[in-house]
Amino acid sequence: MTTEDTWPIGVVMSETGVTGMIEKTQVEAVRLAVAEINAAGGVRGRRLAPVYRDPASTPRLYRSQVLELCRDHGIKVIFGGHMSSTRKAMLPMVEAQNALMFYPTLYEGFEYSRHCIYTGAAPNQNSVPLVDYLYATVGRRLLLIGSDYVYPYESNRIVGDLFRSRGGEVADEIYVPLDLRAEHVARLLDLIRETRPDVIYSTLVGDGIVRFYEAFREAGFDPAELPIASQSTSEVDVVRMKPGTAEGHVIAAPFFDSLDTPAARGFAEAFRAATGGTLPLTAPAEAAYFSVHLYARALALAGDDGIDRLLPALYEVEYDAPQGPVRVDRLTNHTHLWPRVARIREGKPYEIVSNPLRRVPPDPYLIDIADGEEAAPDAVPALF
Amino acid sequence: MPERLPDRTDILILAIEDHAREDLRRFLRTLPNPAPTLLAIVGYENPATLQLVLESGAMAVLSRPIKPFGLLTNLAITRNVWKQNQQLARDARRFKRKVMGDQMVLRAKTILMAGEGLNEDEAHRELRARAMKRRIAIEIMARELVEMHDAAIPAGPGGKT
Repeated sequence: MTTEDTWPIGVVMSETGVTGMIEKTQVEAVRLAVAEINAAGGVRGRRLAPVYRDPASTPRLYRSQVLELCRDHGIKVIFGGHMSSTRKAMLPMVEAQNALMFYPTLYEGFEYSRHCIYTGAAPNQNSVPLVDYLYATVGRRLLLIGSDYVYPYESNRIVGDLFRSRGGEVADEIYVPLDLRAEHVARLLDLIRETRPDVIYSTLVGDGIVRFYEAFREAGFDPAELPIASQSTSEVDVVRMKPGTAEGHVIAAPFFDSLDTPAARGFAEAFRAATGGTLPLTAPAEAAYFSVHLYARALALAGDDGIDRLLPALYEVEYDAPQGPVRVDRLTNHTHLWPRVARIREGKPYEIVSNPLRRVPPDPYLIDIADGEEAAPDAVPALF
Repeated sequence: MPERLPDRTDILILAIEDHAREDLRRFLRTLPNPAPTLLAIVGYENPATLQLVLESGAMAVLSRPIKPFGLLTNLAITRNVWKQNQQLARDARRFKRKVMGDQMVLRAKTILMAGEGLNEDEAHRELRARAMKRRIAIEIMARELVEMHDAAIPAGPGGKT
């Protein structure tokens, strides 16, 4: 059902379920980018025509909806996926239908598909500046906590290794179910009391994040003394926490609402205007936003949305994203990004405590990090 | 996850799931020795998952989504490599026994030569004759002789009494 006068795209992002809150910010960012592109006349005189689906944070639905969009609607480009299980559910369908998928979420790395463009952070991009900040300013004893699935295990392994390579110590490591219950929160708090770390790295994902941070504060822990650092905690979680909970904790991401550049301010204002200020702005939303713009740039160059024409064009374009200029790496299909570290400030812009000097190339298989460690354990990471 | 494997399982196809790491490790500890031929099913290729694959002792992996094509080839190659490994392990055990037996025979001959004033050739024939008389292997005869000898001499510091 392709129509000659529009460019159809599929948007498979949840508005319900365990990651529905954060994915909703991604949906709204896609809507905004599409509106901007269409307001400027579309691409080569044709408007983008998004078709939205809500897979309810359920991998099976991501798979069937991608298949439906590609097979029944002739759609060749998909935007979506959040947790790794959802990306893994979609990829075989995208590959079988010879489509292209933009995956705008940070993940654990160690993957490549010709049919996927990874626009969230690869593990090297956020983890290295985060560990450097924590080690230099917070402390030497790290506790690793996470949800019980692939991203937390791998991200914790990487952050733990980086921390040890700087000379730090990993006190312990613990995993709890995605569906976090009171007894799991109690176990986490017990382990914190028992191991007395200087800093906690959390790869908790989903709705349990809010409950854990609140319980942490209620148990009397002070984020100024013992901060929780995370890449998977976002503004969506922070706005749902009780007052006095989030202040002082640490987040690493390529984009923060408080980023003070013309591109970031313009994006933040447009997002607020489009959503009526009802949704916080997140790094995955920014990745979804620039993914659509990158796609439009490449499409303008290629004049065709089939993967064989679109993919080579994607490697040629650059887009001045809210976080800074981004482009897709032709060897890995991951994106060159600007990772930052921020301290959460309640009711105020987050304080950005680490800014990259230059854009960080993606290294999804951690080749440069491994080399750097073997060559000189005390050297500045090879990435910078 | 079953408590343990059914008896005489030849082939085990095991899904490596991150969220079941502890159950997997517990299950792997119940495997018999030698363990069955093991193929792992993996959905991810990151080091944390690879670590589990290596710990499982899998000799091949089937990647998700699982396709029928390639399964038979993987199964055949894995079973073949497993059999070769078993054969190599058996050979290694046999050669190790042989080397240790030879060492025992050598020590027994030395004892006979010193104790009864025989030359090496005579000591060897004496040892063989004693073994034949009792219808046991020369290595076993040699071990008995060495053990008797060791028991007879007074124990040194830290030795057995």
